Amino acid sequence: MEIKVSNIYYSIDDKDLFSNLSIEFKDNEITGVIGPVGSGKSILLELIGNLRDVNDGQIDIGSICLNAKPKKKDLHKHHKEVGILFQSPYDQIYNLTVKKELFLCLSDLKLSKDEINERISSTLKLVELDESYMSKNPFDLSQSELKKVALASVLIRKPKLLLLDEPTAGFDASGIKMLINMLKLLRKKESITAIIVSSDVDFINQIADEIVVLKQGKVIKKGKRLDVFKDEKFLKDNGVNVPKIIEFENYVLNEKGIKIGYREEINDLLKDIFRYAK
Amino acid sequence: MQNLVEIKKLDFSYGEKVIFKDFDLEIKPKRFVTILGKNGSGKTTLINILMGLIDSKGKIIIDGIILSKETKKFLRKDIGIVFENPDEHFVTDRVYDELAFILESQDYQKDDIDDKIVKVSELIGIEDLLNRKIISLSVGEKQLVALAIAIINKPKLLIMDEGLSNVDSYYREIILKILNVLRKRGMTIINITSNSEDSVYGTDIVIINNGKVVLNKTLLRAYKEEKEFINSGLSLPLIADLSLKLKYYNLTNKVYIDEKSLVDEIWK
Repeated sequence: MEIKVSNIYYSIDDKDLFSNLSIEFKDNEITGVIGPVGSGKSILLELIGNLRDVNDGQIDIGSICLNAKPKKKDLHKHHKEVGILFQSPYDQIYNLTVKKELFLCLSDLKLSKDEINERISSTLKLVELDESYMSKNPFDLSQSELKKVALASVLIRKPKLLLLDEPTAGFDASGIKMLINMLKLLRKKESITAIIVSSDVDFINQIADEIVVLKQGKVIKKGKRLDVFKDEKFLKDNGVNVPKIIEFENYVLNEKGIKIGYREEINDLLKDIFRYAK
Repeated sequence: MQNLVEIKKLDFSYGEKVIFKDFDLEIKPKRFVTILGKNGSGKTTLINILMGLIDSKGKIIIDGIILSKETKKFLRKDIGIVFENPDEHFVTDRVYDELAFILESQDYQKDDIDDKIVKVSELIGIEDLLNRKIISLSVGEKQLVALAIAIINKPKLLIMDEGLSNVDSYYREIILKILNVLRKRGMTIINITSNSEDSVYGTDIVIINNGKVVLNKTLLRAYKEEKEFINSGLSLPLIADLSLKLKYYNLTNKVYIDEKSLVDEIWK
């Protein structure tokens, strides 16, 4: 599902945030949107997610067209094909049991009983929640368990476009692993398109294909993950964090002249070190 | 050596949810302790209890004085605190005025106020920010100002309560280095975070999991307890993690926390 942001304008409290902004997000890819606090990344996601309307310009999501006055049929299609995970799970969980919540999320999809059961079962597996959670009250759960329920409520609809706003906030290391595995699986099996807004660059480094760097409402860099992250100086000068593993790899390159390669994961890095160590 | 902070047999629940039961913790003076724990482990609740903001069962002793209704106002004067979101605590428009406000409310005279502000802004490195409007500052700059406010009266204990969560790596490093300087000057530092990378700047690590202290050790000793990190939903700092894994394969012989030492060891 290709996403095209074309010449959008958006202001908050009479202050211009986006002025003639255009970005293209590739189909079947996971794009990470990073940038310093106040860059507008969450607002951009909310505009693509139809939680806000642009003042001017348009956003095309496949055949869906969002502009200042979107048509009903586009809104309807958007609701069916786009899934958003909010920063706070409290913004999207309403029901008294996990089961009710998940059923409600499927109610407009007109699925058969078998399909419903299959979806629930496979989605719970995807977010690493046991079937025993079905009868629990979401609000009795821990922060990370609640976040998993919120994620399940989005994934269960099998959206064509997945929008995640700071998905790692509130998750511990094992929760983050679950997110990475989930996204990798969806990318492989369902060819999902995803846009992830995150300040956790170590997480983005493990999962994104493309990266968009936003600063004060403007795109200051866009490209393949490694091409963007390699440029440590540029990122740091602009108040953007660099993945720790890339910092290490750059350090080895600069100090010892050894190119151990850019890896996402510590185990791959270890293999490189074995290869190049004396 | 008397502990600066001693928490004994602390019990606390939010309604039916037990946060702490039989919780014990000791913090020695002039240490820089990183308290790690995943979200929801009770770290912030602990601070609220320490500040006497919420009542709990158990004994809390700060610098030899038992925390109680009568002593809490007095004890708070010796604790500086920086919160996750500084905006909630600023009351004036300009940085200088913000620093002056806290001193004026403590009945300091104008000359003293000016003197204290100059001294603390030199220490923290915010001399250039004094005339700036707070609203124009970046998150990192705001936290530097919040830090200046927290230490302007030279408290014995400084607490960062997730104070670095929203700060970018540039300011994060600056602030952590300043905390280390403050420690060397005699302040006890507690940094509460879920980001284990912060811990490399400190002297001790405490891990809280399921309402209990599961680890309380000095830095290098703590990193060796990999299992405790993993079981508590935390990761090790990258360099420490690498060192431990390489040590297993005999490429290094100890745990390192800085890039330079590790890289020099691997490529001697």
